[in-house]
Formats: sequence, structure tokens, C-alpha cells
Amino acid sequence: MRLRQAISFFLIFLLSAFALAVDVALDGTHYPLRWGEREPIEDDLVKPYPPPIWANGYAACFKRGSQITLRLIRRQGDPEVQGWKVLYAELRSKVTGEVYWKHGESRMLGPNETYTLGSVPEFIEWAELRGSVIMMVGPPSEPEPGGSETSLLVQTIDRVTEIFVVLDEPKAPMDPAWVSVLRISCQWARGESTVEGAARKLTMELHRNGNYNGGELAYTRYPSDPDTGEYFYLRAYLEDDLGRGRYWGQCNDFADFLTCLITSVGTPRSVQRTHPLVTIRRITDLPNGNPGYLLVFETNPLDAAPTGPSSWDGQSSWAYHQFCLDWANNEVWDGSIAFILDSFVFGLPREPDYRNHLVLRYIFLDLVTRQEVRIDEPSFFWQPTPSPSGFIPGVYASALPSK
Amino acid sequence: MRLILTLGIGVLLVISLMEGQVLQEGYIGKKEIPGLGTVLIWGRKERPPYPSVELLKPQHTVIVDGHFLLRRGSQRTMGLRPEDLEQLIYDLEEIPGWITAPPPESMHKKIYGLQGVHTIINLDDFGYVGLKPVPGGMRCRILRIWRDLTQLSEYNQGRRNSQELKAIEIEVRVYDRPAKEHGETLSEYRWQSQAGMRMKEGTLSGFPLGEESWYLEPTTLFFRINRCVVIVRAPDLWLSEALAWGIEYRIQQHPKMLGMAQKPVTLLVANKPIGQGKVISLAGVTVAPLSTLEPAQVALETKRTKTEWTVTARRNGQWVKVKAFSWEMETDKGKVKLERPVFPYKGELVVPLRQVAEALGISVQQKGQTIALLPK
Repeated sequence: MRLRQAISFFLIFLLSAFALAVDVALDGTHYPLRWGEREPIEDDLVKPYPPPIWANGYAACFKRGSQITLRLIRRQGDPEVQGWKVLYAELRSKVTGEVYWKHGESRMLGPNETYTLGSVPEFIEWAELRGSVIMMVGPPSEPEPGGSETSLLVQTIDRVTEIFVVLDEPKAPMDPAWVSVLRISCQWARGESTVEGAARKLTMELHRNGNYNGGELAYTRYPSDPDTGEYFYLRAYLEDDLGRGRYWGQCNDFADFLTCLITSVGTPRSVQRTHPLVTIRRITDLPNGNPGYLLVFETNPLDAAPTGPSSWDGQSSWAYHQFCLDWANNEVWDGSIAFILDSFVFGLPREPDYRNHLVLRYIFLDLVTRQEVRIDEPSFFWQPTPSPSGFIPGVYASALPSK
Repeated sequence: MRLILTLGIGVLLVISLMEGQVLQEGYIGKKEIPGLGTVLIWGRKERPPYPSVELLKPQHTVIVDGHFLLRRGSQRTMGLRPEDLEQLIYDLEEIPGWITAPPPESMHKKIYGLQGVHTIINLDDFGYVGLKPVPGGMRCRILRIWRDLTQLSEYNQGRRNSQELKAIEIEVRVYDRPAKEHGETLSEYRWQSQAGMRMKEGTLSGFPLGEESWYLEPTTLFFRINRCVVIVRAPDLWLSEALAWGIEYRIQQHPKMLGMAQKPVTLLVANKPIGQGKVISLAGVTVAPLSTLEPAQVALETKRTKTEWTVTARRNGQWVKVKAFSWEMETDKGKVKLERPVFPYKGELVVPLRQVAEALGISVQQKGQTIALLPK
């Protein structure tokens, strides 16, 4: 009798382990995610997917306004679930603490029944879905010989899943979007329900929280032809911020990160430079007819990130500048600088507005006389590169392999 | 039965909670600093040891008292441990007036629950890690950030906002081969940086630091020496350079031979060798800890507080007062500019030997790699 009881207890213990494997799916209009911790991407995905599940330490991304419905995912080998019910569930903003909806105890549901929780907000949000589900788990379909025929496990597990609410499916290079990026973008753009509004908030917050480094190489690396694109070591960028407390880098890093932020909430963007980097492409005919090599351009007075007085405010001399581009409208979004008179760079037409705000004059090296030549005309050698649509940076969680 | 069920579920819950929570591991020390309040800080004696590198899985992150440690490598390793990298950089409270404190306002506190990170250590990073792709290339790195003690105190009292806090950042990269092969040169920085054209060759002082050095006014100094690259960002370039000379000394002192091979310098005082290994040449100027002068009847008086570190050396009525990271010394005859700045190492101040010794009335004679101090 004692042996039989012991076996029965052991079976119950085993069942509790199996019961953990019965996942609760979160149905709705959702998008895949990656953690942003490792390469290759296949090893970094938030799994299982699809659908996302309601489990601790897990994250899910939904389209704004999407309705979340619960359902049990039954896999081969899972124990039989006789019934289940939601003990409680609530969707709470991680930014403001606001509770969007709260469910008390549901009725007992059949194993194939679904349960509708509610809709996520109609705007960008970083939230968490908290709650508890009780499952009546019976013995596996083929019970162990000699096991208890009557064992039925009643199990509850508290669950917390991060929920990111975005405008639309995340776009490249955030396809799938990184959890580590969404934690920032959905916090900064919380409450925005339009593409324009979200991009404005993200640009502004990056400028407020960023720290322009004066124009030294940071987290980007160039391919063999740098004018075709670049690699952005995003994980390293975010990790170093643990110590700095600010998003630190040169224009490349700002432009790439802003692109990641905006694309993570579902809006397409690319990155472009004001001028090519390859020497031969920086040569043009000067007004005197001699070939001239573009050394730098001088800017008008700028408010470099962070917003307000900081080390690198004022006029600068740059070999190039990199910005985030809405290529469909040729509009520039720039989180690294603000124009002192016209403030943040929110969708300024690249030509002539952005160009004329940015460029004061060009300084060329006359390749015949070896003298510097200054040209005070912003349109003289304005060469957005690559043309016409910019590039999508390659975004990586670790350094690229170098063969 | 209830007990077994509870225990079983409890164990499973603990296991499930532990997964994915690696970033929460670790220990952050707290310390009361008068006028500053409680700061998160690592006290060396209290710091738990780093986990063994062999036990760190690739991509594994861990926080040990504000030190964020990541091992990216797979099977290959450069054989450097976190402690090896820490030897290359100043200690948490070694720069007077500055303290390694976590960023006062960081979204990451909220996002990751991380607090107290002031040092980032990356081990065995591999791939395109430098400025040029190198087949099979690897790199280790340490980045540490200090904040102005006075300003931090004012911030804590609500008299200053976080954006105004000055910082010192020192980054040391150690490559698997000469750093030049990884593209760590001024010419590469020039074309890869937006403000590259403003980068100037050399140092502000004009003294040759490392194999190659360059700077970006008004804050940043770079130098390269053998496998190492050092980037120092301080509120002014003179401080950046003073900090950098101390790092070069550390690189040359490192037991894993990360710097350039040097012929050993023998220092003789009363015909006895003194300070073996600690006396080296920094670009032609011999530097040594002040204690090496003690056998020449020099008395040292150290004053070390949170904001100042000075040592006064006295001998036969003559005296010299040096200060950590200063480019000059005070003497009984007035102020003297130094050929190398004063910097700390293992609890002592390291000084340009000849200048300090002569100011104390000690004659310095050099023959090859042997230097003799001859008290007059």
C-alpha cells in the first residue's frame, strides 16, 4: 500500500513538471521578436513562436488595438488537460502603471476553448500581462502501469509576460524587432498612435538622452565599399550605455539607432550620409576649374545631443554627417543634432531645408594649387549617399565574423 | 502529499525563474560617503571573485559589484582574465576627486533592473573587432567610467542635473596581435570618423606616448602600444594625457607582456639595486615610484583623501611635493614643470626620477640601462 502511495506521489510530481509544458498561447495580431543578445539570429529568437506564449521571462509584440485571446497549446506528449480557468489577468503599463483591464476568475473552460482577455491599447505601449491560470491536469494518455488512476493535479502558475504594442509590423533592420530596443522605443514613444508622432517622440528622446561624442568612431564598422552601407554593433552600443547612462556615439550611431527605434515600432526608415567617404567620390570641379577634394563642411551652430548646453554644441567641421531618412518623402529625422533656431529635426525636407540648416560652407583642397578653397553655398556639393534611398544598416548583437 | 506537491512545484518554479535571469546575478556593494550619501560601489576587499573564465559560457553575462562582464568567445580564448584587464586601468577610487559611480539616471535601471554598473569587461570578442577585419581576430576590452565627486554630491543634493555631470572614461582594448594590424591607427580613425579631420597627431604635451598617439580636442586622447589601444576621455586634455601616461606604465608593467619589450632598468642606491621592475623608461624618461628614493635618506609624507593625493619628499632640508596627475611639482625653490606627469600605481605615486631626485639634492648618473642615485 505504501509503495503504491509512493508511486502515486511520484507520478503527481512528474505530472507537475509536465504541466509546465502546457503553454498558454496569446493570440492576436502579433509579430516575432528576437532578444538582441546573440548571433546568428536563429539562436536569438523569442521562442516558441508563433504564437507567443504567456510565460515568465517571455516577451510578445502586438499591433495596436489587437485583441488578446488565450488558448492552450497542446503538443505531443503533453499531459491531458481536463479543464482550465483564468484566476486573474491584468494588462498594466510598465511606463505609467496604468491598468488597462483586469479579469477576475473565469468559469471552467474546456481544453479547446479560448478565452478573450481584451485589446491592447490603440497606441504604442510597453506593458506587462500579469495573471494566473489554473489547469486540471489528468494522467497522461497512457498512464503508467500501477499508477494512481485518480490522480488529478490542480496547478496554478503566476505568469508575467512583457507586451510591446507597436503601430505595425516592425521593419528592417528590426525585423524581427529586438526586445532590448523595444524596451526603449515603446517607453519613449508611449502613447503615440501615428507614424509621425512616434518618430517625433523617438527623435526628441534620443536627442535628450543621447551623448554625441564629438565625431569619433564608435559602434559602426564599414564594409569594403563604405558608401554602400555599414554594420552597427547594437548590443555593444546598448551595453556600454549601462556605464555611461547615455546613448553615446557619433552621427553614425545616432542615425542607426534612431532607425532601429523607429523601425521597431513599425515605420520604415533608412540611413543616409551627406557625402561619400571614398576619396574619388569626394572630388569635384571647383569654380576655378581645378579638381577639388572635399575636406570638410562647416556647419551652422548646432545643439549636439544631449539637448541643452553640452560639450559639442556650436559650429563643427565634419567630413560627412549621417542621418535617418524617410526615403518615401525625402525627409530627414536626426537625433544627434538640433538646429539652434528651429530645434529638433523632425521630418525636415532633405533639400533645401535640412541641407541649408546644416551646411554653412564647404572646404575643399584644390588638387592643383594645394590651397584650401572655401565655398559658402550649401548646394555646391551636396551628395546624399548612397542615392537615392540610403541604406539599411546591418545590425548585429556581436562582432561580424572576419574571414 | 501536499508537502511533496508544494516542494515539487516550488523547485520547478525556482528553476523556471532562474532561466533568463542571468543579468540579475551578482552583488553590488554599498558604501556611505560623507556628503555624498550611499553610493553603489565596489570595495576591493569585499568584492566577490569573478567566476572562473572557464565556467563562463559564450554570451554569458554576469555582474560582480558593478562590473558587467561578458564573455563572447566560443572555444578560443586569449587567456586574459577580468583581473588581467583591471590591472591595466585605475582602481575605483584611485583618481582623486573622481569616483566610479553608476549613471545617476539611466533607463537601463528600469529596463533591465541593472544598477551600479561602472565597468564593462568584454572577454574574447572575435571577428571584425578592430577598425579593419582581420581573419581570426580577437579582442578583450575594459571600459571604466568615473564621475566628478563634487558634482555627484551636488546632484544628490538636487543642485545639479545629471546631464552636467563630468566624467572620465578610460577604455583599454587588448588585441590578439599588434593593434596596428586591426587598423588601430590615426589614419584609419581619420577617415572613419565624422570629425576625423580634426584629430591631431601626437599629444598635447608633445611627448611621444606609445607607438602612436593622437587626440581630438577638447577631451579625447588615443594611443597604441603593441597589442593595446587606450582611449582616455577627461574634461580636459592635460588630465587625459596624465591619465594616459599612467596607463602606459601599467601596460609595460603587466605580467602578461602586453606592452613593448624593454631592456630592464637597474636602479642603484648605495650600490644596491632598488625597485626592480618598477623603474622603467617612458619614451626616454625614467619613471619610478617615490619609494625607490627612500634608501637615499628621503622621507616621504603621504596625504591621501577622496579629493587629493599628494606626497611630500624631504631630504636634508630640501623638499618636493608631487600630486597625482599633476604636470608640475612644488619644491623648496619653486614650481617645476615635469617631463612626465605624476600618476599612481599600487598605492604609490610614480614620478620622473631624475627631476625629483635632483630637486632633492641627489645626483643621477646613467650608464646604459643602469641608473645610480648618488646623494650629494
